[in-house]
Amino acid sequence: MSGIFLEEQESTNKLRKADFKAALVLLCIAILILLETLKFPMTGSYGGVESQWYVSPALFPLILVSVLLASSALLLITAIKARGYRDVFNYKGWIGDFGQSINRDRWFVIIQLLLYIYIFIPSCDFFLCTANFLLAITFRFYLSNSALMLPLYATQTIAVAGLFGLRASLLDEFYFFSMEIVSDEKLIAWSDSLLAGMIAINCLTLLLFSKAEKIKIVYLLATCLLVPLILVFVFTFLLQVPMPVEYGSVSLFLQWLWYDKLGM
Amino acid sequence: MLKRIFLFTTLLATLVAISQTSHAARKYPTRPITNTVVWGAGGGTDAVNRMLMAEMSKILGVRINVTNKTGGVAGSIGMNQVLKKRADGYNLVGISSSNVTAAVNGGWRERFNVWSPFIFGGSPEVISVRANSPYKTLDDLIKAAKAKPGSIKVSASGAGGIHHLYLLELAKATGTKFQFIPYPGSAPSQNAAVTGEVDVVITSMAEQAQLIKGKKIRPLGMLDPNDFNLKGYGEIKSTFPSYPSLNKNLPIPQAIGFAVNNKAPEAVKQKLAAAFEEALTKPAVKKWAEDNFYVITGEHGEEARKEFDRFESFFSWALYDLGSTKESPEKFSIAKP
Amino acid sequence: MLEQFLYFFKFLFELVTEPFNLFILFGSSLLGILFGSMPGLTATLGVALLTTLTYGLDTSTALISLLGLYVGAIYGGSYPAILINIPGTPAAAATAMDGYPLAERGEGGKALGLTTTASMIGTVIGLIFLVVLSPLIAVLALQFTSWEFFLLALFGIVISGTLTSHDLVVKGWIAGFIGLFLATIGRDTLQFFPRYTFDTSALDGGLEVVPVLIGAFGIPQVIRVLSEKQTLAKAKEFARILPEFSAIVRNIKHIFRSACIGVGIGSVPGIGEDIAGWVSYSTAKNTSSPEEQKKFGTGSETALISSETANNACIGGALIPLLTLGIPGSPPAAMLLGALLLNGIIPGPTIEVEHPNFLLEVTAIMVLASFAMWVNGMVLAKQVIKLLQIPAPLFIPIVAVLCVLGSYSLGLNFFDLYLMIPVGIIAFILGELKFPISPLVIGLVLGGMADESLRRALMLSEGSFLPVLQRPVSLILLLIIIYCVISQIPFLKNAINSRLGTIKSKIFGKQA
Repeated sequence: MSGIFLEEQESTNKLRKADFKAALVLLCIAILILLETLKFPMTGSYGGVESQWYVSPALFPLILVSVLLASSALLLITAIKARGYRDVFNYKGWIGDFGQSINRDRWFVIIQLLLYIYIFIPSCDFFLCTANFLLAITFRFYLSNSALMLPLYATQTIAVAGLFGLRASLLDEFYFFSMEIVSDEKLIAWSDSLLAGMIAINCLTLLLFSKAEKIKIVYLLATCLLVPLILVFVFTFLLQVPMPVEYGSVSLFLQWLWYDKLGM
Repeated sequence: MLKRIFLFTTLLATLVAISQTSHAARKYPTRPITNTVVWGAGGGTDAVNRMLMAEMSKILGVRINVTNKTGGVAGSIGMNQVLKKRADGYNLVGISSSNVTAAVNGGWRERFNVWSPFIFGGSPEVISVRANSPYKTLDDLIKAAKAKPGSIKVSASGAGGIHHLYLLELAKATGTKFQFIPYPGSAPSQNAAVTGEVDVVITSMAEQAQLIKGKKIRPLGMLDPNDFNLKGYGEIKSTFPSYPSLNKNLPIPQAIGFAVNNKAPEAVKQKLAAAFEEALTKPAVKKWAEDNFYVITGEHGEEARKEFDRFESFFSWALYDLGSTKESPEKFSIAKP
Repeated sequence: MLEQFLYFFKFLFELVTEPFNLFILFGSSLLGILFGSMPGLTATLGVALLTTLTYGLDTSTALISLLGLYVGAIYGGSYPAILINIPGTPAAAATAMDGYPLAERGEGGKALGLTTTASMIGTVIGLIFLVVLSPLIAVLALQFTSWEFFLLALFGIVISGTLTSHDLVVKGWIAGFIGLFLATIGRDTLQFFPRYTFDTSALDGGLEVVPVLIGAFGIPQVIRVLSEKQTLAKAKEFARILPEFSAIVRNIKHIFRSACIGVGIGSVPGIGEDIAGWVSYSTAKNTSSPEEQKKFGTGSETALISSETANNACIGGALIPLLTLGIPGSPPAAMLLGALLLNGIIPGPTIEVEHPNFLLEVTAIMVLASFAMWVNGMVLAKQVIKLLQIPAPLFIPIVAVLCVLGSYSLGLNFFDLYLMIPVGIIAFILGELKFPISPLVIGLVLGGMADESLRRALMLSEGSFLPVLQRPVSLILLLIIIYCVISQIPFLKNAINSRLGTIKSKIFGKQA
């Protein structure tokens, strides 16, 4: 009985420590919001609407911010009471202990998602980006063969560096990050070829060096290459949702096949 | 194993190679056309485009897909992305006159003349009061508004939209002052008039007709030079004869329709224009327009471009005067009306 | 009345005896379920797609396919919510609260079976209301002015505080207020003033709910399952799909009450469909026995049935303002309106004059649609459960890709994609810190409505709060809100209970 109690106590202690940090962050954010909100017009006409204090766009945010400040303060006080302020300067408490595999795995997934959404999707064909993303995730979590990981990291670094290199050499104006998708068809073609090459290398290393069972490899390849192809097909042709990069190589090929060859 | 690897690589290589050469010039249109409507699904622009595209696809002999891409200000996100696509006539954009404010609102950095619009038409504007309102005519309303400026509450969709501009023109032309209450769309604006939350509502005939026929609201008159005969209700008179000063800037047509990139080849534009004209002669289209209270105008080419130039200048400067624009119209060298 | 009754059955009979119609009905219902079950693919997109396809078809055929898809899609939303804890609509998030814990215990099949049957009963009850009470409810819907909208939004927010927070209660409130704050981003509806947009035009339109929802539920789930090497909720061998009759009977009062809540709240345009499930959930919790209350949030049948029944009963509720007033209450309903217009049916107060018996025809179609949904659901559920047998490291990455496609395809907007990941990471961290995520989503859904309605109401009354007390509906809502707030604060609750106790004992004491 007392063992369970101690365990519970332990996890609550941990939570209070985290709460202390969360409350600090929340307080900072709330204060920033407050500063921004105070710049809003409080009275005076705007957009053709006569304004009084009660029409001000700042009214609702001000109410919210004050409640948010109050509740964060409450959380902070609760945390302080439970002595949650210990270890606040320990970086491990903030980004996780890299000695534990669970934290390394978390960061791996997060980084793959970031690469997928912010770097690959805006510049390459959707099928290729997806295949690349799926290969990375399945290599690590389905096969768990560390021999495959090194080539994977290498190809991904090359792909990312290459994409930026291509942008720098083919575009008049280099950009690191854009709110819009690339529409330069030459750049898309080159980026696609690069990514396709990297995917091919990864598939090769998989076929040559993985010691997994044959059936596992078949499943993996089907998941990484076939499923995204089906998804792209269903979304473009049946649901009529154009892919993010509409002039990507695989999309163009499928369109040519579907419309011009099969005449659908 | 090696054989499989070889097969795999050749497949990938051919895939890339073929796709790069697959878009040689062919007769237009051979593949489906995509029409991206920049307003939400189920709205007026969306409905018109879906109906029109269904008819035009029969004439052109290819499928026309209609998708919605909303967001930004005045449909800027959808317009931006369609403009970036190939100017080959396979990418259309569904628009209305309200889209011309995208530039001054900071949505994009283009003038509207990057498009070549095809205008289907629009629904005339009507001013109504709730069913048990004391105001029987527009005169009553104006008199009451003059007696107590700013006491009469009017709903007209969102701030800076086309209905709001009508209200501003009405106030200017009659020398009165109203209290404008903004709502996120025409439907909630009208609902507010039905529940009596506001005294007056200004929206289009297409949106009000059912409420008028159902006796939930009562029309005071058309904010349009023509009288309107509403089946099942009777004739609604134009207010222009009694207030000639309304003629100065009104009517502002809704100009619902679609547009193609102005850089598209002349042959493509002509093909679209021919299909557009033919579609407008179809009885199904005419009946639909009548049932839904749209008036077909059918401009395209140079005529439509001029019309949109006029809207652009009128809308942009009106919003600028309200103080709700991000950029000055001068920055885009938009002439004053 | 009898005449209408006869007409209803005549029409129903005509529909059933036409094989083509039945084929369309089952097909579109199946399509709807598939649409609803993909995170991010919503009823809106499905109806939009069918609108173009059905153009030119016979009106009643078009209606069958549209309504079949609509009903199917709303129901289909419960699949990903229950099985992988990724709800595709704010309404389905309520279902996930208790559905996923059930699935984790290996009772996913039972959960799906229960929701399927409850959904059908909910839809049918909703329809009965549609026919019998539509004029009354339409009148009630017209009682909703800005004050009532504000109070209803506030009510939804207050409810979110009652949703289980496993740790401190204040965390639920913080999550809720973060959600409300997110709703204020973008151009303000009243004055078009850009709030917190930092001169980015992508933020002008505000944050879309669906990408935030998928980010907040989907991304943390992907991270968690992969990194913790979790296996997905397992299907018990020979999991029984057909629900035990007794489970339905036991919960019949909850089903009935939830259906009433669904119809009532669903008929309030613009807000109803998103919060009906939550209101029903919270009401069920408040009216359950203390033992059952403890189970809420950890896999309670009652909770699951309550939220899912209300979600489906909403369809009937939402159709009332749509058909009788021409007011669409939600994005899918707006799309349905567009589709009706395209097919030459113009909903509004005159619909009974222009298309006599139209309401009855819609009801007949909907009855069939909900039956088709039930049959499809029962057949599908068994197969869907099998999907969970795919190893998680293969299945979950595909789910992640679907999340990406889902949040992109809604508005074809790149910003929605970019938004999803930071929201997901923040939601993951908040989840690790034991902050509940549902209040955040409810806040985002209701924040805009609360903000805009409050300020508009004040604008109309020129700064006076008096109208709240003068309008009957708003007064009732206010009292309910006050009751909810008081019942959440233990100190006040105890004080009131003991007071009531003493008063009662005094009264009864005297009587005795």
